[in-house]
This record gives sequence, C-alpha cells and structure tokens, in this order.
Amino acid sequence: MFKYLKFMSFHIMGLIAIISISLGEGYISIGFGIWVAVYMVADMVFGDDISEPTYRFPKLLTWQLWLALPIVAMISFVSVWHFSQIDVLGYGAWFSNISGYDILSARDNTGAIQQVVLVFFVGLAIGIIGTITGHELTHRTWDPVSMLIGRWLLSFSFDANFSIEHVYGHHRYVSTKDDPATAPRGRNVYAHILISTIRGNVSAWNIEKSRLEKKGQNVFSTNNVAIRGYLLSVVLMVFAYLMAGWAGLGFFVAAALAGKATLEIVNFMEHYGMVRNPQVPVQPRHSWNTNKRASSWAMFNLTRHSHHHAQGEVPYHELKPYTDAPMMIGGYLTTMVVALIPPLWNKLMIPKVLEWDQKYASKEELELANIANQKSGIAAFKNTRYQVSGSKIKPVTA
Amino acid sequence: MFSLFSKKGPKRLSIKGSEQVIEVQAKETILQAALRANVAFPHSCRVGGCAACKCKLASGQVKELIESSYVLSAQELKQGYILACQSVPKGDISIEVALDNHTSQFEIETLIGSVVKQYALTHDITALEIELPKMLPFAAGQYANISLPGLSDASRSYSFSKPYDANENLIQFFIKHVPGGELSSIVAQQNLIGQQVLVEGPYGDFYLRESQSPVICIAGGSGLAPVKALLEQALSDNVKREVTFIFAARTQQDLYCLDEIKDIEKNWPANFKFVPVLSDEPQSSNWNGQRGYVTDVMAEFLSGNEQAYLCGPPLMINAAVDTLRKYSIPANKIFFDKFITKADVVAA
Repeated sequence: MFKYLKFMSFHIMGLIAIISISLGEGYISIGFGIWVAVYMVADMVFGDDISEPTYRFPKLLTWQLWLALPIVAMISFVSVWHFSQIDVLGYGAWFSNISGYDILSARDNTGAIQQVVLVFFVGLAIGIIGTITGHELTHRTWDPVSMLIGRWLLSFSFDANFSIEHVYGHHRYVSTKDDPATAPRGRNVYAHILISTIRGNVSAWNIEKSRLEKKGQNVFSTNNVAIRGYLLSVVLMVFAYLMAGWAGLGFFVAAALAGKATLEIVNFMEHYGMVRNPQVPVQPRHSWNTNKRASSWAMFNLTRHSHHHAQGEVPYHELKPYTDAPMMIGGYLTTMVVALIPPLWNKLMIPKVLEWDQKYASKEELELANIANQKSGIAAFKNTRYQVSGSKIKPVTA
Repeated sequence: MFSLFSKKGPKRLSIKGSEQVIEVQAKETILQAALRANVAFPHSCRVGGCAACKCKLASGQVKELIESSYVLSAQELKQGYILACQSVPKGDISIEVALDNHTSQFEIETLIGSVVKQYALTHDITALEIELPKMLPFAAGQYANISLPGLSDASRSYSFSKPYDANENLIQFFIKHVPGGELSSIVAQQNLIGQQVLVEGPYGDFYLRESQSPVICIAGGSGLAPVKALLEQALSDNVKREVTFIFAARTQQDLYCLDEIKDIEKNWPANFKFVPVLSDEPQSSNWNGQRGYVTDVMAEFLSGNEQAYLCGPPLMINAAVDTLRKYSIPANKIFFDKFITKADVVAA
C-alpha cells in the first residue's frame, strides 16, 4: 500500500501550498518555508530509497499523476485570486466560511514582500508539481489522455513544447553539444536558464516544422503542435487577466517564468559537464543520478535519471536506482540551491566532473572532455588534460 | 507454435537474412524483443527520438507508440519504415534491418575431419584436435555441432577453443565429461585418434564486438574455450582494450590452460587482469588466490563501463548477468554463449 502512497507527497505539498497561499500575509512565507525545509531537510535526514517494488495496478500511479493538473490549476487560481479586486467565484467567502478565518481581509493586508515570495513559491510549485509530472506524462506518447494532461501541466510554465523538444531533441542528443538542455563545463546556471530556454524553444519549433514539411502540411496551421502548445499558455494568461486584470496577468507571467527557470535549473544539474560521442547509445553514465528518498518520492523517481535516459521508455515506477551511476551533490532541492550559488557549485561540482572523466568516460569521451575543458573558461578544467594512449589515462596538470 | 493463430499469445518476429525467429511478448516493442533475444539490433535513445533503430516493415502490422514522422524522412515513411523502439507488433511480422552481422560472413558448412590429437586437460575435460579437409573460417567465440559417425548418433555443440588460423586446417574443442553424456563419455573413455568427426558450423553470435570500452570475460569450467579463443584472436588483432578475465572452477585441479592464459596476459598491449576463482578448494590447501563464486569477486573489477562476455553453466551466467545489470551494464553490452549452456543441459 505504502509503495503507492509514497508518490503522493506532492499532493500533500500541493494542499499545503493552496492553504497557505489562501491564508495570505505571512502564511505565504511559512508555506514556502515548509516546502524548502521539507525537500531539503528530508533529503538530508532520510537518506536513499533504492527499493524496486513491483506494481500490480500501475494505473493507480497514472491517476496520481493526472491529479497534478487540478492541483496546479488550484495553486495558480488562489495565487492569481490574491491580485484580484473582486472575490472571484466567491472563493474568499467560501474559504472564510468553512475555516472561520477571514481571508478576504488577509488578502488586503498581504504586502508586496509576500507577493514577491509568492512568485517564487508558485514558480517552485509549478516546477515540481506541474513540469516534472508533465515530463513523465508527455513521455507516454502512446496515451492521448496523458499527453493532453501533460501538455496542459507544462503550459503553466509556457513550456507545452517541452513535450516535443524533450523526446525528439534532448533524449537524442543528451550530453552532446547539440542538446540545448545539457550544460557544458563552465556555464553558470543563470546563463543556462536563458540559453536553454531559447534554444529549447527554437529546437521544438524546428522539429515541428520539419515534421509538417515531411507531411506536406502548412507550418502555420492548426496542425502545428508547437503553435497549439503556445496557445495553451495564452488561454491561461487570458484567465489570469479576466480574474485579476493586468496585475493578475503580470503575476502569472512572473510565476510561470519562475516555473520555467526551475525546470532549467534541473536540466542544468542533470547533465552538467558530461560528454558523449553521439554515435554511442546513451548510457547510465550520461546523467547525474540521485536516490535521495524525499526527492525521489516527490518527483516520482525523476531522480533515477541514469536509468531514465538509458531506457527512456521505462515508466517511472519501474526505474532502477543504479547506485553506482554518477551521483549528484545531494537531493534535488539541495542541488538546486547549490546550483544557484555558482562559486559553491564550481567548488563542489568541478571535482565531480573530473572524477567522472576518470571513472566513467570512454576514450572518445576523454578526447571530448579535453575539448570541453579548454572551452570551459575555468582554470581547474583548463589545467586538466588527459593523455589518452594505450589503456592508460593520465591527467596532465598544466 | 500453437500461438500462431491466437492473438493473445506471443507474436513472432523474423528479421530478413537471419534464421532466428524472435518471440515478442504482449506489449513488447520490436527493439525490446530483439535485445532480449541478444540480437545486435541497432539503437540509441529508445524513446523514438533518434531513429537509430529504424527498420523496414516487410510484412505484418504494428501499433506505433509515437508519431514516427518526427524522425523519419518523407521517403522513409513512404517506403514503410518504422521505429523498432516504438512499434508493437499486432501479429507475426517480418522486418528488414542491417544488423551488426559480423558472423554472417562465414558460410556454414558440413565437413568430415579426423581426430589428430586427444589429451586430458583436467580430470574431466579432454582436448580434441581435428584436421579438416579444407579451411573453415569462423569468428573466435563461435561454435560447431560435432558428432562421431559410427560411434554415436549424438550431435553436440562445442565452441572452437582456438581462433581460426588461415595457415592450417586444424580446429580444437574442449569436451567436458558429463556422467552419462553420450558423446562426452566416448571422448573421455576411448582413444579417438584417426576417428572421423562430422563438423557442422560455424554457428553463434558470441564474438568480440568492436568498441573502446574495457572488457570483462567470465568463464566457468569448459566455458573457457570460446573466451580463450576470443582473447587470442583479439591479441593477434592488436586490440588494446583493458581486460579483466575471471576464470571460475571448483578446485585447483579444475584449472587448465594456465600457460596459454599467461601468454595472453604477458603479450596483451593494455592492462590485463587474470583472476582465477575457486568455489570448492579446501580451506587448508596452498591456494593463495580468490575463493568463492564469480559473483563474490566480480564486483571489485566493475566500473559500469564494461562490455561483458560470459560462458559457463547457466546458473553461473544468470547470477553473473544479474550482477552486471546491477552495475548498470546494459543488456546490449552483455554477451553470453547460450548454446554451450544448452548443450550442458542436454548432455546432463
């Protein structure tokens, strides 16, 4: 039973977000604080989950994933509601009535600082509940319901077209320079958020365009899945505007971008500095893995990333922990925070990347690593050169 | 066979140019079934993003899990190409694909040779050297079916224990005496010099794949033959990959060919670790090497990067493959000789 329930932590966390945001004022920060604490501390305290349970009713797990859509929609609704001049759909009255706490006057007292916190809070919530679930669902290209729900989930971060780029781009080119989402050595996370967002969207557009051209269909038509993807986000923006005018729209755009940034930070962590010969099939060594319990449960084993990329067709509950794969610094949220502090990231991650070269890289990959080191612009990388001769690998420190 | 007309049962996948018919389980894709059957099916991303596994559907129908027009060209779509990783057969199908078919260049022949040498390697393994009337090219690691006309009708599969040598028509096999085994008992008990041998082959898909990654070889008992041949061939081909070679036996008296292995080790151009491991060696003996089962010792030599080549009894192979998988070595980098194990089972 628990093996099913353990993947319901994001539902509980979603509920905490909905309630704390509804309560307004300082409760917004408290809710955000709970989120950060749970995901960071729990990972540090509860260690790894390397169990491999079998599921007789995987459909139950799929329904759990589908539930993410109403949760993300509700989180977005209550936060946009904060910016409205009216009590949209009577939500404030209803909530106050059942809770006995007047959230309408709390809303009036919610200051600008809490509203800024709200942007990050909702951004993180969209990232974890929306994007990660959307990722899992849009891998199920054979299941139209999962695809539809997945693309709506992604549209909360303007990223429905992730469903195109990710499968036909990222999984094909991962850990090579042709992959928009793989961060090369030396790039910092802020640059990656920008570069990967732009290149990812361009790539999705080009992939879709080439598909339509092959089928002899007009690129600017309703057949274009990329255009339809952007339209999903436009629909959400219209809702935000109708609910709360320009302020609501402005907030939603900011939160959606924060959600998109969350995804790009995760992309940054998952393949940072890795190299691969495009001719060689993707192996477990081409992703940074972590088996931290809280992260794995919250993100339904996205953490078992090494297996996900080596065998992308495997649904999340069948992913294996691969305990000897290259390991991330910590759980997902911990690693995200480290990534956001580039000097700390470099200090912790450069030794890991260099260790990866020695421990995991093939000879061809060492040649690629040499090139990547030179291009990195970071002394610790630039000073490492591998002499690849015979079977001996020698790092030559300049 | 009866499942041919029933929809529920496994479906059959045939690949043009290959004799093997692969069973496809319910919901399984073509690629999954092929890799499970140890067919070297080209592939990479496995999610329908790269088209490395594209193949032509010659007959039958498939259910496509993804829109293949994202990755296949307009021409390919018109010609009936599909993605093996995204196609679930709806019934029996046949496809065309260029396999990694190193062994298909060797013609299968039936020849009658004669035994020129017969000697004991251990108390229960005998080496047979057979002179053939003509050359029989094969890949080191492959096997042949042999029988002894006039003495027995039994035909058994044995791996070539030396690589192919274009200068002589000699082939060699290691034959383990299985109590009650029809062919192996004759080899163990009778003088066969001059005896006619019917040799049919070469067969099998066990040979060293081209790659840069390190190699781990695991041989148990008479499973040494194809592994030794494969390494000797690699040595003469100047292969420079790192090798760990684990040779599992019961006791010291079951170890053999140690001089030949030492020669390989000495001349190997890269790191070469030879690890004999004994499972039943008395504790009191003078053995200073490893004790236990293959799975007890292999972990310390694994990085996850290796290509693995295994030959030996089925239980050993199963356990060792499990360990390899645990070290994230993918199925398509694990090669084992199924037929030797089958022959063991049949003979036993």
